[in-house]
Amino acid sequence: MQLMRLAPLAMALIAAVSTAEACTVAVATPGILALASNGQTLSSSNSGGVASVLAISDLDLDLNGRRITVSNLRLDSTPAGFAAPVTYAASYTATWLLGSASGSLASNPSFNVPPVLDLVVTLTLHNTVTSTTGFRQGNYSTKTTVTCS
Amino acid sequence: MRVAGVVVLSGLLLPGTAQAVDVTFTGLVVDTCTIALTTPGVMLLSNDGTILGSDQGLGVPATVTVVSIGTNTISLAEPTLLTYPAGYTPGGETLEIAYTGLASHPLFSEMGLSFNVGLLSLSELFVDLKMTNPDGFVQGAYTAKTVLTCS
Repeated sequence: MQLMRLAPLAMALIAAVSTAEACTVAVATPGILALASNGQTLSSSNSGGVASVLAISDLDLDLNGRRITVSNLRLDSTPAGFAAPVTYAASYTATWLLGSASGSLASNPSFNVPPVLDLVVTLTLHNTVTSTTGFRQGNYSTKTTVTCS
Repeated sequence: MRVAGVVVLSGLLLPGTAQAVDVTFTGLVVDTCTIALTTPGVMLLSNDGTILGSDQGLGVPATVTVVSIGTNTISLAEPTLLTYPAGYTPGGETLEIAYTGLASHPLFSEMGLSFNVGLLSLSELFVDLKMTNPDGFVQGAYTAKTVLTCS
């Protein structure tokens, strides 16, 4: 009899956990790239540039931490005719309750956030594109993939 | 209770769903170019007295510094005579310019000249100017100019 009463509760718990909110990544501040005075780097770290700030949250209070990865930095749009070879760099700092991490695309592109403490992670991301032959006039945009898994 | 305990435990081990987001950065590059005259030129008279130029003897070409970002064009306007001594009648002279340095056009030209520059850190352009008059020049001070623009 007692088991019969627990069955609906058990089903409800399964449903609640399996539909719990997944890790979410939201861009709070879009990044802005600015040209360096030497004309060779277009970066959010340059004077006038703005880092992108992301809010990453995992609302299911499970025993799984989260792994956050920065990857696939690429030029998304350039002025017509721009074909100069470029190199890319990205760096980040992340903070959460009782912890922090920092790294770059070239080294430490991923970091782990412990369970429960991954409720809210603030990620500050910089993008840099370098062209030794400079950048021609026009609009540029880069994209970087941030994954929470 | 045993059933409920098993259910809760299995639920806690369920991994959450991964999410990937593309973060966009945008930037605008505007062409800029700055030029500055660092050394005015000095013209000297040739031995035969018919040429007054910065390329003569100890004459000094004008030095201009240029910084360029993006794609720009540097233009040197047709040279003109600015001042001359009271006893000199202008009109018989020919004015010509040439340049070397970050770009080179060593042959003197009566016409304006121009060339393109891309990304350019602080660089120097040396501009020569000369006046030629088969009738020669009277004693006194002369000044001539060419206007440089970068756009």
